[in-house]
Amino acid sequence: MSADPLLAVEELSKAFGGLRAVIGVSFTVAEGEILGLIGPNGSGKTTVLNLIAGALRPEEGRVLLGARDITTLPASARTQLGIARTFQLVRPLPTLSALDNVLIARLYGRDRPGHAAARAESLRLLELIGLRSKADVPAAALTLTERKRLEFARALATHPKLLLLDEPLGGLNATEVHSVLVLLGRVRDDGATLVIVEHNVPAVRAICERVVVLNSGRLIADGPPDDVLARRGVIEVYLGTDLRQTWPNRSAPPATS
Amino acid sequence: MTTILMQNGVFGLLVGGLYGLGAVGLSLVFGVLTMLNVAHGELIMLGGYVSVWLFVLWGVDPFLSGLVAGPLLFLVGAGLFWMLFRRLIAFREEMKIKNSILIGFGLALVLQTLAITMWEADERAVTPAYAGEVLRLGSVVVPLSRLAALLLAFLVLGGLHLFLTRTRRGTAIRATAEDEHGAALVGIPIGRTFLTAFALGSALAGVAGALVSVSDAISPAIGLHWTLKALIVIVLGGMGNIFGTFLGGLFLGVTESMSGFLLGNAYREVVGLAMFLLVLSVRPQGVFTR
Amino acid sequence: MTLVGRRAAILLAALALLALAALPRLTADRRILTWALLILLYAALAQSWNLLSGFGGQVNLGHAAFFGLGAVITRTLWLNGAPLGLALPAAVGVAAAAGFIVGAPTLRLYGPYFAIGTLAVAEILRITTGNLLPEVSTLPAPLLASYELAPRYYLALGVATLTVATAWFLTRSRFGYGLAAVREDEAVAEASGVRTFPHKLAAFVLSSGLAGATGAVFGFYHVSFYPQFAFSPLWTFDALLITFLGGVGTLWGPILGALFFLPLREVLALQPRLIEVHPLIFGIFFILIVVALPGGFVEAWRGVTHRQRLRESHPA
Repeated sequence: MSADPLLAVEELSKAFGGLRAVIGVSFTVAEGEILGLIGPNGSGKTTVLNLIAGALRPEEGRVLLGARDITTLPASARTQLGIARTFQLVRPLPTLSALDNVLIARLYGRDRPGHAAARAESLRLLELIGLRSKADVPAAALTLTERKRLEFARALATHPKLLLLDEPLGGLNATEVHSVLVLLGRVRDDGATLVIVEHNVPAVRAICERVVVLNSGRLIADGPPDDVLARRGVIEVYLGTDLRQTWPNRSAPPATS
Repeated sequence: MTTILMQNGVFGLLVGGLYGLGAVGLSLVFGVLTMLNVAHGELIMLGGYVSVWLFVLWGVDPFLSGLVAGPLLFLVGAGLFWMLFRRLIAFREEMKIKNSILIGFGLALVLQTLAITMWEADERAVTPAYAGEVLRLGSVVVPLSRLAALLLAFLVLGGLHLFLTRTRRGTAIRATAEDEHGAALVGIPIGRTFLTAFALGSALAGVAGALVSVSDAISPAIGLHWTLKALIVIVLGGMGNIFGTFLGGLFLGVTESMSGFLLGNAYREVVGLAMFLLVLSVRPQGVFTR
Repeated sequence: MTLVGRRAAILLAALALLALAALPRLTADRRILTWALLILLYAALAQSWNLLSGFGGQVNLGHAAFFGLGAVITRTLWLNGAPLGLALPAAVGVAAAAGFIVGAPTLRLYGPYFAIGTLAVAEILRITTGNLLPEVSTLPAPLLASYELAPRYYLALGVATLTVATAWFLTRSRFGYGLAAVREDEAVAEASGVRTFPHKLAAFVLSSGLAGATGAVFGFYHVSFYPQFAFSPLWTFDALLITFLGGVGTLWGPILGALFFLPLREVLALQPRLIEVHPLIFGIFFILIVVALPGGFVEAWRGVTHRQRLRESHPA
């Protein structure tokens, strides 16, 4: 176990024209940790993910993988180093089959395998997420839930050390959420580190060991979920500052549980 | 020496004004519909032929032909949109532009061949009685008809500006160009707005073609030539920006004129195209946009 | 991604190749041989375009530039005494190098800008060639006297086979898979580890080199032509049309398209009144395909077989 955290972001800032989406955000992720990245809509969570993944370049700040500064590396290079990500609005490669979607990621991910080995492993991954029977179906023809699973398989196919998930539970019912959480736990137990952007607070509480809260581009809290989610500042960010309006008959807001 | 330079400069401005007018229609369509109709030059060519035939058959002055070419090409544009380009509206942006380029590519061939079949491939000129008249400003000679064409182009663009800023339809067009979804949400009839914008862009091409006929020969082959000019101008001037487009046109005209003088006539086109590529790679949002 | 079963396809291809190779022995009819040569030429032109623009998804409207370079360089070197064995590789090399030089800056552009950028490049080359070589290039008497169709036919066959082989390579190789990902969604390709720019550039170099080879065939085959004609946008258009007809982004597309296009064009050319109208008809065809059936023949076939399979699995 090295002393360096697996991932460190330092003073990340990103603006889109006049909109400052991320302002001076810093945090670390230890190897094997599951970190939750939460905050209200528009707080910059996806932008932070994009900056870590390499889809965007920051105006200021650094991204470090282990001891290595990867701030200027393109996304494909970061995938080679072990960073994989999913997209909030699923993006499969539409006219290619489910198998090909995973196969490409396996061929171009870490540990370059031969074609036959890559194919075999891709089929196993499809089996893992329950899409083996749809291996030859074009990705565009899959249902949304199936595409979400495919997206996940594609990320796993690159053999990631760090898996960045953008709202993986969006649109899923309680059973589906549970199976995804189980799967995520297994992925972590197999050696990956996870950073999960999520809105589903109970799920975050259930699986994340640490939580980072963003609001309007700034980091406002960093710590264990029970601790962070009880803080007034964090609650206000989600529910508004005049809490008496929300709970008019109580002298203090309820304990969050 | 200075006289020659100034002469070239003036010439460049005169031609450039037409380049600007020729490009505005394309710029409008791209700004509002996010489609690049690369058959735009063929529409200019058709406008030119309207002028030619009105002159040959009934002696109509080419400056007046614009009044016919505009509405006629408006209808043609509306028809083309209805038959073809309308089907691309639902596509995502990159596919929309790509497919419009492909359709335009095919359409250009169709229109060019139609023109050749109906009217022969030869060049035709419109030569009204005042064709040779010039204005003398010191030692610089300014062909009167070209000057009048430039002034008319100004007027048309001014009219377009008024339409876009002072009328409801025009404002709807601007709103749709800015934010398609937002415009739909506030109740602007998007389908009709798209149709109007496309037809208007074609009408502008028609008028430009009529003005081109005043000083240049018209033949089926000029389509591609004018499409390229329009593309260069909108890249220089920034898409969807009338004033910038016009400036871009003037800039292209003067640059071409100067390089024609310095490098010889054979390469004046090449300079424009090379500049296009340069701007495209370095500053795709245009030289004259803020 | 298969039209027919894999073994059947390989058998079919081998048989076709044998038959085509034997054609000059089987018939002395110049017309049949010329037809076959032209079909091979157009199939090669279309397939070379298909590599970058179909498989790679980067619509290239300046394809004629590389075809023209191949034609003019081959012609110039050959007529100045160089043996074909030197002229041809030189032409291909120049075309591929041009692909690299043009591709390096333009492929970084947003897709549609790339399309119109390549259009501008082709125009620049056409105008420049027209200025530098305005006169028609005709074979001098000794070369005319020794002109034989068969070697030209075999050259066309060779180039066509090479383009098809390259396309086949793209359907099976890791590089081809990466290119397909780039075509489908560049951001996702990058996220999956595919370096998009090198893939696009490599495809461009392959495409332009093979277009140059096709141009070389043209330069070697024609008795006389205007050099700037080889840079005409019509060549690009034909490549697009044929590929779209047959199925853009597929292996068989350009082949089927060429097989359909050329006989139809000849039929139309034979009708005296329609002789000038065939670009119009093809233009309309092309537009219809882009609008209604972007997948061309291949998609239509898949549609038919898919419906058949559906009917078989859901009887009554």
